[in-house]
Amino acid sequence: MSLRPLTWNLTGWLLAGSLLLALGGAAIGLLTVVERQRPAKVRAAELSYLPNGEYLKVAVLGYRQLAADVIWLQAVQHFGNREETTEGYLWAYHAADVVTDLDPKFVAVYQAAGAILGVWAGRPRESIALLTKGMRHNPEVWQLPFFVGYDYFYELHDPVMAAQYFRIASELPGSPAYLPKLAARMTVEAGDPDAALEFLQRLSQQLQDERLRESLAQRMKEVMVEKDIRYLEEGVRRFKARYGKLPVRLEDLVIRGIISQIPEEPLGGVYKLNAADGSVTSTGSRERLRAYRR
Amino acid sequence: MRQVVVIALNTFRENLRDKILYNLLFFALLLIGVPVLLADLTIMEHRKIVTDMGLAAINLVGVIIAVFVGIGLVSKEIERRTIYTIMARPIRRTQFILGKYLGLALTLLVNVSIMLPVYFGTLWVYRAPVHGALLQAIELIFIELLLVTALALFFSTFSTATLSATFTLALYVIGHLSTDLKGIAEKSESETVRMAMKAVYYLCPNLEVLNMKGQAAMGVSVAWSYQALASVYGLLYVALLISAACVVFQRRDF
Repeated sequence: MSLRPLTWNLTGWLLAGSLLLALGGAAIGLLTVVERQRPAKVRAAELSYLPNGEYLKVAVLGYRQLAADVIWLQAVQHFGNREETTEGYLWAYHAADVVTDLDPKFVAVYQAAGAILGVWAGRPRESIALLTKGMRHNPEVWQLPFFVGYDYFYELHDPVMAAQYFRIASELPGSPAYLPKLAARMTVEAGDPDAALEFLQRLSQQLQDERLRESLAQRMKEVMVEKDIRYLEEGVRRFKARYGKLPVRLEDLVIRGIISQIPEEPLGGVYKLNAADGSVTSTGSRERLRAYRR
Repeated sequence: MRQVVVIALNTFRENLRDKILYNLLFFALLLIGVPVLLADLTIMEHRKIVTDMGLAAINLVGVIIAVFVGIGLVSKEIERRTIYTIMARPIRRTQFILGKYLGLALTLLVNVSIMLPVYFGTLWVYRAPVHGALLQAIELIFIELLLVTALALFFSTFSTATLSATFTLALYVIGHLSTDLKGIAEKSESETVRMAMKAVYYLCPNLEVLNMKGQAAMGVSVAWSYQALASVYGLLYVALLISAACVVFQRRDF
């Protein structure tokens, strides 16, 4: 293209320049205002308006994988938003469902969304639905049944179903050697804190995300509290067997030599004895783990 | 002003002669045909698909016209050398650009206005709910079309038709992704990546703020203040692009 010599005078150029600058500045300023009107949470919820993956598949022509990547990129940005409510996580499930409809071999989505829905969101049913869908399309990936096992064991308190999935996982190539033994232990000693602790430790090693691992560390502390409470209640029982009455305080167990010391409460609370019925509670956690209330 | 109107009407007539409105046939076929093809779905799904498909078609057909007619607005006149006859008349170059733009904008307006009753008619036939949110979404779609037309016109003032189409389509894609790209870049370790993405975010038009199709199809409307601000944002960007196009065109040698 050829340019002709400047025909505008300086004032003309200055005017044109300032007009462009003013319009550009106003557009950028307004963009910030418009974006603020649409907070991140609203944008996240927009993912729940995504059409069913089966139709989207047709609409995106040959670019299924690319479309799946784009939707997933949008979704992961909102994962980890701690203010998200349990209900709010439903859109996450929907987004992951759509992404895996578009690209059923996208294993990372099953793993990440499955773990987040189970560990964080308290939506084990959705987590299991997504993970078993992943198992149908990717029967060779052992981590998927392993996570289903977690949901059944820890979130739904069904060690029998959990063991079943651990067994499936243990038979897949690349699965860790400890898995069959762990599965057996968890079936036989359902509700045993030691087995649960070992399992949570192994699961934590499978997770890449630091925050998910933090959540699991918290779960482990809760299991340790349960373990301590069982230890102390066993002490109370032995005290009653020996002296024919309940101790007044937990310290009595140490004074009478029944236990060597009162364990430190890992959540930062203290253990208290209910002198009326001999049960032990922790001030650190409001209720005992559901898994052991049977 | 009279010159602008004359050029605009002339561009509109030219578009009609080019049989651009034939796209409406394609639009109607799509709206009527696809739900028939998907006849084995439940009624609820039918309604959702008709609603989604209509909004998407209005948007897509409009963008195709905006890009491929938009890039020819100026370059065609130059190729056919009709620009010389126009420039020989008492018409300023800014008036020419403005008139060309408004002509295509009018074509798009007529196009969308014909699509609208066809769309609502189809919704009515399928007993799909017609709500205000759909109108909001279509208004924002129209603003997006105006913006895309301005982009195409701007590029066509200084580059070839093929390159202009490539640039416009590239900006259209970036415009729909820039918010997400900025979000991803914010988590990046590298300061350069963060700065570069910020620049892309602020410089490229953000078309995602004009996209309400998903929620409108579910019957969820947006606040009027948002609607207004988003529209003003789109129009400001249009003004910026048209002004830039005028400045560039002013310097071209004929």
